[in-house]
Amino acid sequence: MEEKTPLDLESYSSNYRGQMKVLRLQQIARTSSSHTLKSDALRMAYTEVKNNTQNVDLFLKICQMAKEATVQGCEEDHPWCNNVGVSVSLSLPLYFQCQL
Amino acid sequence: MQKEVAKFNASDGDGLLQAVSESDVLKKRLEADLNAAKANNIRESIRQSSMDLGMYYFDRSDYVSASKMFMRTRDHCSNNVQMLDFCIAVIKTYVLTQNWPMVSTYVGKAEGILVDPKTDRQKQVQAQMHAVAGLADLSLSRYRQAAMSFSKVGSELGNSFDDVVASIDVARYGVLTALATHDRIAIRSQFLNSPTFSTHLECILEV
Repeated sequence: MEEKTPLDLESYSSNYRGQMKVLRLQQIARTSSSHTLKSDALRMAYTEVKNNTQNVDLFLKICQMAKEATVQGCEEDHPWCNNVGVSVSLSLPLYFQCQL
Repeated sequence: MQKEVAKFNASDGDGLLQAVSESDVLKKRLEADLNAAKANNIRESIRQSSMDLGMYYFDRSDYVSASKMFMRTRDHCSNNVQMLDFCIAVIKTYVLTQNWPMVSTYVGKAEGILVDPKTDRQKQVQAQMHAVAGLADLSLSRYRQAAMSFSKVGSELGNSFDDVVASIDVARYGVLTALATHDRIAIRSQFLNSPTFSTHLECILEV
């Protein structure tokens, strides 16, 4: 569906906080047909999940989505992941996996 | 990272590896607090420590462990305020795992406690329960019930539930589900002229 009314991403996302804010941005990126909106949503999600959550799984999912959409500036940050928490979906903590 | 590699390589005699992240330090402290509370058998301390550890797992998306810890707080709740805190914590976990039937179950439990809300906090929680009930109905394709749930959300919601659903989206979803499921007369009486829902309509002028 073509987007006729541009979404004010900053304004909309400011209504949310925490993990839900990242999930809403992720949903916008997932469903948007506009590459600009998708990129902006993923960059905002990347910044939000890294600065205001400790959710490593969500961070890695955002990085993966950004990679598939060829969005720059959303690289995986292993030191951050190792320091903040253990990835639940992986069988081993990240700092173990790096050495294998 | 170098420090972590050194720890990885230098295991102790039993082959156990030591954690060095801030997260692991926090987890150890929270577990120690819980063990101390259990040793002293102080009900409120056990409840609070379990809740803190549950939030630790919640923040790190380990929702299975989080819900287990939250369930343990139920046995140590002394009053309705603590029971509501337990319901809200569990509901937030089920929202993020999209387990909508369980969301509806715990909304029912919370509403059973909130039979006659008097304090501002109770009215706020009631508004939160109507909002998340609407979200569950919407996700389960029960659009008529979703419209009715959203129409009951009062202005007390404010931004208190922004980690689940924002007021502006309550308004949007309420309007869309009402238009889809109700006739013109019902929309006017139950939504446009509703003392609770009309305050949310002001947020979405474009509708």
